[in-house]
Amino acid sequence: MFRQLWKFCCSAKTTIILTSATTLIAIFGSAQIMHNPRLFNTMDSKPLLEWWHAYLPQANYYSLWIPLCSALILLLGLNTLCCFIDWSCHLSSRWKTAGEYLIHFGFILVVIAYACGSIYGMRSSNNSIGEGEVIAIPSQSGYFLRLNSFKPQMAPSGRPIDMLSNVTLLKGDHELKTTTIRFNHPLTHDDLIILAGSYSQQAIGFRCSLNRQLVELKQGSTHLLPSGSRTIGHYAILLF
Amino acid sequence: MYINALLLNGCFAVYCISVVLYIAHACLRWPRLHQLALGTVLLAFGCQSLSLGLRWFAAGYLPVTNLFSTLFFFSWALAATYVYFELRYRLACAGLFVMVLNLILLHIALPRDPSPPALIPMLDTPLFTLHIVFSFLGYALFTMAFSLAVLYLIQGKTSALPLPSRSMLQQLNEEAIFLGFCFFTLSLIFGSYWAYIAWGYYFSWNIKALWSSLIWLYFAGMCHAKFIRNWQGTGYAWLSILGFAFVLFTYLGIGLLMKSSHPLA
Repeated sequence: MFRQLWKFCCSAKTTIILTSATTLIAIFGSAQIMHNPRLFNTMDSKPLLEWWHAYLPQANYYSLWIPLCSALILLLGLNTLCCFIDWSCHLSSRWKTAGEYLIHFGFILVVIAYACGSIYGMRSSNNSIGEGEVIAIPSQSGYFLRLNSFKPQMAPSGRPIDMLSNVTLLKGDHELKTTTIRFNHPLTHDDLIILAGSYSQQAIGFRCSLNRQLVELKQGSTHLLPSGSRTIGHYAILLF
Repeated sequence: MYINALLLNGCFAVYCISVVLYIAHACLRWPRLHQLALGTVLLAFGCQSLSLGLRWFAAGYLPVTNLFSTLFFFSWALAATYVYFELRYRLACAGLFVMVLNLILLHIALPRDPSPPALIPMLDTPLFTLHIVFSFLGYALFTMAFSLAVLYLIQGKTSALPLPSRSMLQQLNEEAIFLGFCFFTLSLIFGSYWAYIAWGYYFSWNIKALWSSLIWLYFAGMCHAKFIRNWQGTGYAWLSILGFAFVLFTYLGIGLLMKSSHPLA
């Protein structure tokens, strides 16, 4: 009985059935992605399990292919693992197929890594930070990020093509790493990876003409008006 | 610039001559015509490689960032694949079909603007080059497998073409699929690592990435079917044709018909 079950788990026929089923379900899934972009465009913003929990109420049956596809890939990983173990047990007679089984092993690692990332991983986006400011990194107790300087890189057409952000990663008050991050050059520290997502501008004041004189006003700044007038006090930050 | 235009049009013209020579060989069956056809393919491939090298040198990066350059690179990879199989196994008239496919790719590419756009920082990494090179080598081998599968299906039904034997076509089809699968695996590895350093995750849920994974799974299934279950023959040839349809959809269909957040869609 156990022998038959093991044979079934290692069988290439099982592999072919699982790959065919996964392929068909993923084809169906890609059609869902195309027809429901608002829902599925958010998939990269969170680990898979967290996304599914967050969007389950509005997802309905549109997203049911995801757990089904995930379950099939997990089964495929299990099937590959059984196959790899079976090969390892007969290594002396099957060593010539080591290359093929290296691909099997790689696939097992990828499935395990993706499953762990989907369950225990963390992604956080829309964390705004201004120059000179420090923010706490979400879900990473004790870790902080400081933006030392920021400079967007523009194409000749004026379109932004990169974001050069000089940042410092802190653990408490201790500086762990300072680097300039841009596309393809993130800040990495152990399993943590920090990238610049987007940027926006924030007005910190305004210029106006007072008695034919151009005056710059910022929050907290003061300007003495000609005799008989008052000092201007605080200003609110204007957002455009 | 002038040299490059000359090389581009020159290689197209020489590929056309090679197709004419292959047709002449199919009709007249003179061995000398096959040698001439192979010679012209090698000459055209040399011109194409030189053109690609010059464009690479001028741009400072592998120019595969617009439709012209990807079609041109796909055509180059297909020609390289064909040259490998022809020199190793002497495909004879089987080359006619591949060369016609190659001409179609070049014909679509040539009217487009060949000047490479400025490289955006997102694509400025060797991982992008590796991802693209292995991806197109994989595509080219799957295309080769498709053409060999078509020839396998028509072999025996017509005596008009002096084709290799069915067993040889079958063996070459299987080799093309296995090599294509290996190259495509490397492409996915480099692509995933690039995604990790560019976006912080190895796999993005966009249609192109999903279909690329599908292609990998599909051809992994085919490799299992062949090497472990020893499935081959007509059914396997039809699966190769279906696999090529997946490849074509992933390469062109998604980019032209759908919206995908993949940087190369």
